[in-house]
Amino acid sequence: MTTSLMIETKRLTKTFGAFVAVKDLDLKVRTGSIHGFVGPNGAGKSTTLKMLIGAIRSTAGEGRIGGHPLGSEAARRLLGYSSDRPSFYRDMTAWDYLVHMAELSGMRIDEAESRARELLKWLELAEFSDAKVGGFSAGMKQRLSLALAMAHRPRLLLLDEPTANLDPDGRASLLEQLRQLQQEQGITIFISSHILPELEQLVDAVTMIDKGRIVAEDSISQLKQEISSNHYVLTTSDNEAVYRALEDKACVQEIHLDAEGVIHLTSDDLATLQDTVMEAVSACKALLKNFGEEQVSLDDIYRKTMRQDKDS
Amino acid sequence: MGFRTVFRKTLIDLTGWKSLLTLVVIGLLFPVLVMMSHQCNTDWGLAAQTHSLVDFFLMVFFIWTGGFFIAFLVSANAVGSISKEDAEGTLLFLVSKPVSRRHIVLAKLAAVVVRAVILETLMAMVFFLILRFLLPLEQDTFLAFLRTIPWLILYSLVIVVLCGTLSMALSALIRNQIVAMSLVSVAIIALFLSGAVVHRMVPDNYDDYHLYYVDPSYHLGNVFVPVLKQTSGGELPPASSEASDSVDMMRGMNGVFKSGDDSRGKAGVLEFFYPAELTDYVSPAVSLALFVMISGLALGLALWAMERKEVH
Repeated sequence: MTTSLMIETKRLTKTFGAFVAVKDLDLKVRTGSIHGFVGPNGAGKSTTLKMLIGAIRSTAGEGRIGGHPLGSEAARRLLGYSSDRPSFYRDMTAWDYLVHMAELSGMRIDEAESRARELLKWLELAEFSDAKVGGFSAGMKQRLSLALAMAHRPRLLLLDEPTANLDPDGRASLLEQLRQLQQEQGITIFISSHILPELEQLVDAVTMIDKGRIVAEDSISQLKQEISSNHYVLTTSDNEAVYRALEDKACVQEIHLDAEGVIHLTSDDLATLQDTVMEAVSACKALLKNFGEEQVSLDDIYRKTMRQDKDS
Repeated sequence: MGFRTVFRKTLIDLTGWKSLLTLVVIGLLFPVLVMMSHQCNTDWGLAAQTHSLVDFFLMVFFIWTGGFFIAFLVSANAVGSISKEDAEGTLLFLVSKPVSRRHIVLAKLAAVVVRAVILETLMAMVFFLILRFLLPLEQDTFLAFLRTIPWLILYSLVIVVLCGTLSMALSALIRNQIVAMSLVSVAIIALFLSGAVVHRMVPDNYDDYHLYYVDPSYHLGNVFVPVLKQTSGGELPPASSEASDSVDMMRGMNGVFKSGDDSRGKAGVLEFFYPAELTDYVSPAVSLALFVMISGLALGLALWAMERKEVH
């Protein structure tokens, strides 16, 4: 296994009785990158994360974190994990919790206290340091969970839906902080999220998973290029007429009008398509406003990939 | 570091002043009430009445303070130590940190044992102070009683370690605390009362079929014998020839003393506490070794179950 990869799994599989939660997962996450992990509910994202931290054992396959086997103490020393539904000892204060977790990871008490102070300030929880965690809001718990994951200065953060309980400002602020972590400290971040527009701004690469199997994985730019390479968008002064004129043309593989009346086309032959579009616009006596490659979002990639997977 | 941190956290959680005081009161309420209601024969001399009460104290310690009470308390603490954290979700954080699961189990068990020993010592000392005020004990007699505390604690330690390891194993194996506690309760009742049941079911065949080998209550009583011997080690006042409550009770519960009253009426300090003749089926050291072995196996099971535990 390659050491430039922070996470590497080979044919990682997890079954619960007859149910296959994760199957033959070959995951590769580069050291120092922010890697998105997306998929529908029940796709196997949380199960994968729990295998990566060693909370559950794989049924087959193997994996390494920073070169160390999954679940080993050396691997866990490298990682910090934040759950999608973090649970806490309710009667502990945020301060005591952080010091406890830092000590648990091997820090001396003075070091642990200094780290706790730093993290509470960084995650804007300093004023609640003496408050019991049981009284925290869901958003505060989420931020505390992230602080606990980072208590021992891990080189890898495994975050399961870290922004799920945060308000829009909190989400934006957290994403910015994660970006800082990666850029300033070179921390690798493996992040599972449903909020794809946010993830798109943050991640370098993404792995899409469905029914426990990887259905797409690459850098965001590469995935966009793959999806948008033969996808075009067309706007004219009379979209409906132009749409009718184009729908039975041989060079047009797919065509549809979206809710806003914009024409979306798919074609493998751009030169012929350009001529055909010009002819159709002219025949309809319409005015061409815009014709170009479709700008796809992570959300589009996700929907298209999942649709393809369903069809197959 | 991980062991120390988990041990300290568990001990602090278990040993709040309020809970400690409440438990001392609950633990002593029953023995004090029983002793206050204990009727001594008014025809006896003062020494005989004193001895009767002291004997009663030993019985109460064997069956309640160092017996049922501590057994159930330790079990309740140990059963919750893993399964409660698992059910509440806090175990997930713990196992994601670089601390070995073996250390988590050992640290939690050590905290439960240390807390139980602190509680037993406190209860024994408070109880002795109550005795001091209730009974016209001479200084030497009182000091002799104080010297029995370590022996009583050692006896309790056997119960504490046995129940602690069994409960810890069930806690790691079974997520449902009610089921785990029910199983431990059955084991505790069997530990104390199996002898009584066996004697009632096959009164004449206990010796013939060597049932004492598999009778946990016999072995428990056998472990208590050195405590009785130590208590009556020659420094306490002369013995009464009257019936001993502890002997009657232990005869009813297990096979440590021979049935019948043919051995009553012996003189001497030792004979006061067990005027009945001791059975000599097995050496107390063998019974102790048996409990140590069972505890060791239970601890091994707890460690194995924790290593294999899937934390969701």
